[in-house]
Amino acid sequence: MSEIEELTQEQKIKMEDYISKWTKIGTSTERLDRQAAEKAIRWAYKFASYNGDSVKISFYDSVDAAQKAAQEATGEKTKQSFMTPSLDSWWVGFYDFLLHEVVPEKQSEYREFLEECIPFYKNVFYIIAYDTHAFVSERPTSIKLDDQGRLHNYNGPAMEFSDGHKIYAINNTPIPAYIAETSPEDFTKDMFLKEKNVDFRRFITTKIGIEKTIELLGADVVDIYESDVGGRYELLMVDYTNTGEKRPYLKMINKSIGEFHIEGVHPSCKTVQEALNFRNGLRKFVEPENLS
Amino acid sequence: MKALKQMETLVTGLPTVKSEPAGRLIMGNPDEPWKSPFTQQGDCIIKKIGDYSDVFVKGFSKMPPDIKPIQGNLVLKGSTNSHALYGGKFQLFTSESHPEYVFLRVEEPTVLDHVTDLRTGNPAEHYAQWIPKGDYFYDGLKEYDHISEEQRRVLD
Repeated sequence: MSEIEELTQEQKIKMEDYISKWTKIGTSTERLDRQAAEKAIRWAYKFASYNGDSVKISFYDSVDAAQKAAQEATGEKTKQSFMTPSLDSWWVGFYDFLLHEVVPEKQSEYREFLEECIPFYKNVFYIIAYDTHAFVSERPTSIKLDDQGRLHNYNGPAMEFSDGHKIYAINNTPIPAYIAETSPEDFTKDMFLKEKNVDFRRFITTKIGIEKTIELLGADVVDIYESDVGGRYELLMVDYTNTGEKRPYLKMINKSIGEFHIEGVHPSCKTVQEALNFRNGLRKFVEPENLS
Repeated sequence: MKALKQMETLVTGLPTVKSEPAGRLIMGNPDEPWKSPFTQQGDCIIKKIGDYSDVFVKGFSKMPPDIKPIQGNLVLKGSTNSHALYGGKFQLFTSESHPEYVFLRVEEPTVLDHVTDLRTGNPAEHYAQWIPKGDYFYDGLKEYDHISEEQRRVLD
C-alpha cells in the first residue's frame, strides 16, 4: 500500500469537514431512517455471505431493549455481541475523505465501499446480528460529550434513549448511576469508602472537590511528602467506621490529568513513604523512573 | 464483528496518508537506561528484572525458566482502558509458576501507553512512557480495603 507524504493545504481544510461530518453521524440523536438502515443491513448480510433478502430485521428503542429481545429470542443469558457502526466509523470517514478529496479518480474502483459500506456506517447505530435475525437499536435521544469527544457527564446520564434506558459515563469510563445521580452535597463517607473501584472513587472526589472529600472523611493529615516524580502526597487518618478507630489512606494526584486519588494503605503505614512502599511492593523507598 | 472487519477489505489498495504524531507526551528517554528499578503508569508497575532483592518485596533476578511467549501487546487490562506496548520491538511472556505476573523482553525501545482501544491505540488517561531495552515484569499496584480488611491489587 502506498503512502501519501503530504496533503495540500486545501485537502487539510477539507479533512476537517469530514471529521466534522462523521463526528456528527456518530453522535447524532435523530431517529434512524429505518428504510435506509434496513437496506444497509441487507447489504451487510450479503457482504458477509448470509442471506440478506430473508434476514428478519427488528428495531428497538434502545440498546438495552435490543439486548433483551435478542436474549429472549435466542435463550442466551449472556450479553450478546454487538456492532456500533456509526460510533466506529473513524476509518470509513478517512476513506470517504480520501476517495472524494485525494484520489477521486479511484472512485469507480471502490463503488461498493462508497455506495453500500458508507450508508451502513451512516445509518446503523447498533446491531446484534444473528444469521437470520438482526436486532437493531434506535439512536439515543441525548448524548453528552466532553471537549475531547468522550462520553461524559458527572451530573446525569451520558446517553439516554427514548424508552428511558440510560448509560452513565465519565471520560468514556462507564460508571454506576449513583455517582452521576447523587448531588455533591449528598455523598456520604460510607458511599466513598465502600466504593471498591479506584477510578469511581476518583470521580466522586472530582465531583465533590478534594477539600470537601477530606471534610467528608473527617481526615487528619499525619504526614506529607513532596516527590520530584509524583508530586505531593499526604497520609490521611480516617475514622473509617465512625467508632473512633482511624486507618491510613494516601492522598495523591494523578499527574496526567490533575485529579486526586484517595486510596487505603496497610494499617501499619505511619508515613507516606511506608504507604508508597506498600502500594508499590517495595522493601525500601525508591522513587519510580517516571510516574504518569 | 467478523463482517465489520471484512468490510475493511473494501478499501484494500488505497493509499494511506503519512500522519504526524499528535504531540502526545511520551515520558522518559528511549535510549537512556533507567536510574530507578521501576516505573509506574497508573495501576501498572513495570519492574526491572535483575538483582533488586534489597528493593522489591517480590523480584526476579532473571526471566523464569518456564516463560511462554504470548501474542499481542496487552500488559494489563482494566475495566475500560488498557496498558499496552506500541512500536519498538518486544515480546510478552507468561509463566505458569508465576501466573500473577506478565514478563516483558524489550529488544528495541518501546512505548508503554494507556489506551481506550488496543487496536487504534487511542490514548486514555495516563501519559505514555518509554521502556528502554531490557527485561522487565509487570507488578500490580496494591491498596488496602479497611472495610473488608483485605489487601488487593488496585481495581479500575
